[in-house]
Order: sequence, then structure tokens, then C-alpha cells
Amino acid sequence: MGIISKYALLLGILLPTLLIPFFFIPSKSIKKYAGLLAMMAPLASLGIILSIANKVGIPQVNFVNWIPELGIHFSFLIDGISLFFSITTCMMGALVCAYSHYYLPKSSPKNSRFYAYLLFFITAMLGTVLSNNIGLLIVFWELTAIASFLLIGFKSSKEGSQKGALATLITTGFTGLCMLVGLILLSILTGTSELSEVLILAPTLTQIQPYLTTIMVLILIGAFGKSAQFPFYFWLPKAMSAPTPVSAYLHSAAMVKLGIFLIARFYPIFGGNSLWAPILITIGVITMVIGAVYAVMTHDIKELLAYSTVSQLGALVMSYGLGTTYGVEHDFYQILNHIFYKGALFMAAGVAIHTFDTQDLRKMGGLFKFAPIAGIAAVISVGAMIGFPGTTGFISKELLLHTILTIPTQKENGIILAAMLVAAIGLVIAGIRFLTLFFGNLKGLSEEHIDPPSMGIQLPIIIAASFSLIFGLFPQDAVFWCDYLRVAGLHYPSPASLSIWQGITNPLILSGGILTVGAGISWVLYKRKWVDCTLPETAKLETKFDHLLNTIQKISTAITAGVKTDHSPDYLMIILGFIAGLLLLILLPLFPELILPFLFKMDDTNTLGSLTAILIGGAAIATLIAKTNINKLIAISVVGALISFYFLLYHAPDLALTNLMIEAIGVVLMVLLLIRLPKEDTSQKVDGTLRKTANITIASTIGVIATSLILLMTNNQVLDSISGYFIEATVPLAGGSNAVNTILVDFRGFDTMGEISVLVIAAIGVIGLLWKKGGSINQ
Amino acid sequence: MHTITAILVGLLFGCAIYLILQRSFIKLVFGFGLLTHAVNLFILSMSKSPLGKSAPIITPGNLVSVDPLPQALILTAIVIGFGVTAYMITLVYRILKDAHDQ
Repeated sequence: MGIISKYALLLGILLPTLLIPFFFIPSKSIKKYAGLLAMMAPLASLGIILSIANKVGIPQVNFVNWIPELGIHFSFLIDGISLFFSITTCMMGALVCAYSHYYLPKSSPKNSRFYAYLLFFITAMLGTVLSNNIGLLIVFWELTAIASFLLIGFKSSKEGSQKGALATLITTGFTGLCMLVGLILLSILTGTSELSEVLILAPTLTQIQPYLTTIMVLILIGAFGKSAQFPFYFWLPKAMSAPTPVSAYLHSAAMVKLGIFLIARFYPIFGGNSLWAPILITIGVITMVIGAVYAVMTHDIKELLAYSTVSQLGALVMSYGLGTTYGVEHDFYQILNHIFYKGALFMAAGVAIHTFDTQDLRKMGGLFKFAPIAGIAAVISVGAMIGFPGTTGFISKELLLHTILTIPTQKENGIILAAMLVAAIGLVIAGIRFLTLFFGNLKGLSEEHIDPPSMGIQLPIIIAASFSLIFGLFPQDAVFWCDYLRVAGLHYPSPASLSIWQGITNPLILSGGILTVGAGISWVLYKRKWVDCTLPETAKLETKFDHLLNTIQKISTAITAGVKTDHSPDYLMIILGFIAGLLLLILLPLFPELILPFLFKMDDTNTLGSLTAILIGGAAIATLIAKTNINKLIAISVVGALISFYFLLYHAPDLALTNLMIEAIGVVLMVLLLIRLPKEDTSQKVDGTLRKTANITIASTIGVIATSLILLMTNNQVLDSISGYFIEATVPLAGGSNAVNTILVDFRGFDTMGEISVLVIAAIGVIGLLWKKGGSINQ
Repeated sequence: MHTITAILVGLLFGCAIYLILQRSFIKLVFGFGLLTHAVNLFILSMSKSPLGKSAPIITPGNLVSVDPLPQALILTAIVIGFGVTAYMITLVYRILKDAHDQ
């Protein structure tokens, strides 16, 4: 691989992010065409990625060193899965940029920030799907969470935006952590951090079965969080507070597809696991039904789309669960179907919200006359959503029904089919409900007040929608491309054909039934003006999540209020008490054998030493008992002087001399302080009995610990002291006979340098304190 | 003498911590002074019993001397301890004076 193509892929991924500064150039023409310029970035990235794939072929690994010590490299795997998701990311990214150009208020100063976040997100997405290195995958995965947090919270002054962004970050962050643990375990167990190598090892991994199941569950939690599966789905409707282009992109095409990507990526490894199918099918089916039911039970246009997305994602997860050990078929086709129709519907919803200035479907209607192109696009897309013949949705639904009907008969079979039918009917009702905003009488606005949507804003919608129609009418074209992206282990070895008409089959009959029943129920609901479609707030999981967050906040506030005080000595007490308790806990088991026997080993008693020690102890206790400060000072200077003498007993003349001098200066300073001291207000400083007991307990515990540590360390020495070296080397190497002095100035000269620096710093501090407020030192 | 030192260090630590835990700045300074001594003796005790040994002056014929390393460390510690104590004393002076002036 040439050096150019080696870095070209990295450049391709980073390109959108690298272009961000460009949007902050204060130039009027850049601001004017920002969206269209931003559109070029994902297209350029796509061009680079495709040309590399075309040049070297797939699958291939693209490798650049990053942190070799941690096994983290810029290592990218270009294969069918990553190419498929790169293509959809870049294509929808470009469409959304173009759409944003017309959607966002013209020449708003915030626009640069919006495109910056969006391009950053595209980079994170591309990095995630292309990563071959597990560490890199995690980094990019979390970057998508951060980028989506910024995008969802873009209207930062609104409370809904803040809450939505926070819910997204917390949910995907928590599930991302589970995935992190799973991936790290996988990397430890396989001994490699490269996904391509893990995939090669996949068939042999069954030996570590118990661990593998844990890893699988952890990784699936990560996937479920990102793809808004039960019980994490609530963040998706909350995230609808984002600007509509963001919803169209992140919450239909890009971010929520990452979980699906993860499932597809790990299918070859975990597909054979006995828990794989049950977990995916259960979660998928629950999510599918909840999403579809809630999509019907709302009046908010974006919430309707969000819940239908949740439902569709559940269906995708379920379809991976229904796959056989040979793999799955046409999964890319189903993903494509959802990306294009949902992107188009979100963008159409954005046009409607812009025009009607509301998100309530009951106050919208009759838009078709003013936005015919968006209207046609919406009709096509809703066709795909409800599975109308001629669209991708129809074939997608046929495939899913076919899979369910052909799995070996089990007792769960009926449940899955029933759930599928309920979800499909729900989506039909939601889809038809969506179309009411285009048809019927104009609502909320009078005709002369309406500001018809521009041509430019409708163009990306019809482009996205047309894919639904083209691939729906000519499924073989889509199959041809998906066949090129076939991945070993995930897909069947040989391609299967797709066509609209496969004769009168069971799936076709069911499809027809779904459409008829859905349309019938819609008609009834429409006649009743959709009054039945109100869901109580308490039934939503979002409300529970908010409640949970509030509770956590209350608990932490209560704990903080209980722990914090206004007096710093209290904190000192807590810290010292904690340290004392901890050390005591560690030392307690050592007492009987390693500490106590030495306490009574008085074989080296020395009368002078004992006498001095007793005097020092007495003076120390006197510092506690003494009433006035001067008496305390006298007691403490006695301690200092006696310690100098004690140093002498330890044959340390240098220490004795230094200590004596320092003590003398210290006492002088203290006396100066006490003389000039303004009277300290001691009225509030009398401690209660409890407090006094606590202080005594902590102090004596620390004293006991100090004694024990000395006895423990000196009597149970494991390693030899290095002092022998200093004694031997002091004359030959340093040329001095006083070993203490040679250590200070020769062997450890830099320590002494540091000591002098500390003194200088302390002196500067002292001068600064005394000179404050213009007074002189002598004052 | 070693065991005596160990007990003495424990006593000094106890007194120092008790003083530090009081709510008076002056007592805090006193406690810190005691703590310096306690820590110094703690380090010194690592050289074990000094009985029967000579000062760490290396002369021909002087074979058993006390461990010089703790002494070197303490020498540094004494000086730094003084620096910190001096700073604390002036800090307390400044705090109490400012509080009084207000």
C-alpha cells in the first residue's frame, strides 16, 4: 500500500472536521453558502473512501500507528459493512447539509456552529463504522455521543433541548460504557485489538463460551442504547427537541443506525450463540410494538416520526435475531429503505413545522397546495413506511413476513407474527396520520399569511424519497449493489433475487390485510378527529427517566448538605478520621504477630534515653493542658530543645545543632506573633463533649498507628537498606568523612537545591503577607 | 531505646493531631510544630537503635556507625518544616489581623 493511500483514508474520515475552521471565516459569501459548502465535505469524504476501496479491493485493512504501547492504532477495516454505512452516512449527510442551508434562518451567527457540529458528527460516524481497532472504535463511538449532545442541545436556551441532550448523553454514555467493558474483555480474551483478527478467530471463540455470552450481552447493551431499543428507547423522542435537520439525520439515518451497525459487525462472532436470537428477537419485538403503538398515540409530528423510527429499529434488530447460522439476507436493503423514507419524512415535517409554526398535527393541514414537491415526496415516503407496493417498504415488509413465516415452527412463532402485524398496522395508521398535514383544508393560517416553502428546501426531500421509489420499482439494482458489499459470516454466500411480484403468496396476503385494516382504523380515527390518540404523560418511559434523574439529584443534594460544614477543621476531622480508620483496618490483623511482640522488647533500654523521652512526652502533654498561649509556647519550645538532645542520643550531631537553631528562631517568631496578635475571638470555638471525644479518638488512633508503623517497619524489614552504599562510598566518591554531609551536598545535591527553593518561596510568601495593604514589615 | 522512640512518636503524633483538630489558628500552628518533630523522629526511628554505634563520621577503625540516610532526610525536613512554620505564623497573623481590623 502506497504512502498516499495509507494516510488518504484517515484524511477522508477527518476531512469534514478539518473543514470546520473554514466556516468561522468572517466572510459574507461563506456565510451565505455555508450549507452548500458543508454539503461538499461528506461527498469528498465518500469519494476518497470509495476510491480507496475501488483501488485495493475489499475487504482490506488500512493501518497507521497511533499509540502502539496501548495497542491502539488508526486501523480501518474497509469491507461491505463499513462501506455500506459510510455511503449512507455521507449521502444523507450531504442531503441534510443542503436541506439545512434552506432550513436554518439566513445569516444567523449560530449557523457556523451548527455546521461545525454536523461535520464533526459526520467524522465521528465515519470513524466508528470504519474502525478496525477496538480502542479506536470506542473513541469514535463516544465522539458520536458528544457530537449528538451538541446537536440536540443546539437550541441551548430551551429547556426541552437541554433535557433531550442530557437524556441522550446519559443513555448512550451508560450503554457505551457497557460496550466498552465488553469490547475490552473481548480484546483480552482474543489477545488482539484488531476487529479483522477477532473476526478470523470467530469460529474458534466458542471455547470461551461463558465469557463470550457476557461479552455479547455487554456489546448488545451498547447497540440497544444507540439504536433506541427497549428499555433505552426514551431518549429518541426526547431528542426531537433538536433542530429538524438534526432529527432527519441523527435520528433516522445516522446515529441510531450505529447500534444496527454494531449488531451486523459482530454477527459473525455471536450469531451462533444460543442467547443471540432470543435476546435480539425479544428486545426487537417489544421495541417494535411499543414504537408503533406510541407512534399512533401522539399528536406531535416529530414524536410520531421518532416512535415510528423506534418501531422500525426494533424490526431491524428482530430481523438480525431471526437470521440463521448461515447469515442474513437483504439486511442492507431494509436499512436503506428506512434511511431514505425516514430522512425524507423528517425533512418534510421540518417544512411543515416551519410553515405552521407548531408541531401539533391537529393544527396542521392542507400544505400540499403550497409545497407540492415535498407533498409528493411525503406520499412516496409514507408509501415506503406503510409498505405500499412500488416502494422499498413493500419489499422490505414482504421479506420480513417471509422470514417470519418460514422459520421452523416454534411456539413463539405466532407471537412474533402477531407482534409484527400489530406494529405494521400501527405504522400504517401513523403514516396516514402524517399525510393529513398535506391534505384537507388549510388549518391555523389564512392563505395570504402563508409563506410557501422555497424550491431549494424541497429538493433534498424529493431526492431522498426518489430512492425509495427507484429501489422499490427496480429492487434488482439495489440487490446488485448490496451484493457487492456482501460480507462473509453475515450474509448468505450466494445472492438471492428480489422482485416486486412473486405471485400470490402468504406475505402478500398479509401485506394487503395490514394495509386494509390500517386504512380502516385510520378512517375511523380520522372521523373522530384523532381524539383517541392522546397518551397520558405518565405512561411514557421518558417521564420515568425524568423522575429518576430528579430523585438522584435530590439524594445527592441531601448527601452534600449532610456532609458539608462551614468550618474547615471539620473537613480535617473527616479526612484524618477516614485515614485513621482505614490504616487501623489494615494494621489490625497484623497486631498479634508482627507488632505487639516488639512493643515489649525492651532489650536496648537506656536510662538517659528513657528519661529524655518521658520529659518530651510530658512537655508535649503540657502543650495540650496549658491554658494560655505563652505557656503553650514554653511547653513546645521545651519539646524542641529536648528533641535536639534526643537527636544527640541517636548520634546525630548535625541534626541536634540544626534543630536547636531552628527552634530558637521559631520561638522568636512565635513570640512576635503572640505579642502583636489581636485578641482571637474564642467565644464560638468551645467544643462540645461529642466533638472532644471524636478529636481525642482520632488523635490517639493516629498516635497508635504511628507507633505500630514504626514497630512493623523496622522489625520486619524485607529489603536491605541502601545506607551501606553511602557509608562505603562517602570517602572514595565524595571525599568527605561525614556521611550525612556528603549525602546532602554530593549524593543528593538536588534535594538540597529543592530545599533551598522551598525556603525562598516561603520567604517570598511571608514578605507578601506582611506587606499587604501597603504596610511595611516593621509595622 | 528503639521501642521508647516508637511510643514517643505515637504520643507526639497524638498531641499534634489533637491540637490541629482544634478550632483555633494558634493551636493549629502549635500542632503543626509538634507534628514536625513527630515526623522527624519517625524518620529517625527507621535507623533503629543507636546503642553501641557511633556517629556517621567515617574514619579508619570506625566500623559500626548509625544509618546516615534518615539523618540527611531529616536535616532537609527540619529546614523545610521551619519554612512552612514561618509562613503559617505570618499567615495566621494576617488572617487574625484582617479579621480584627474589620
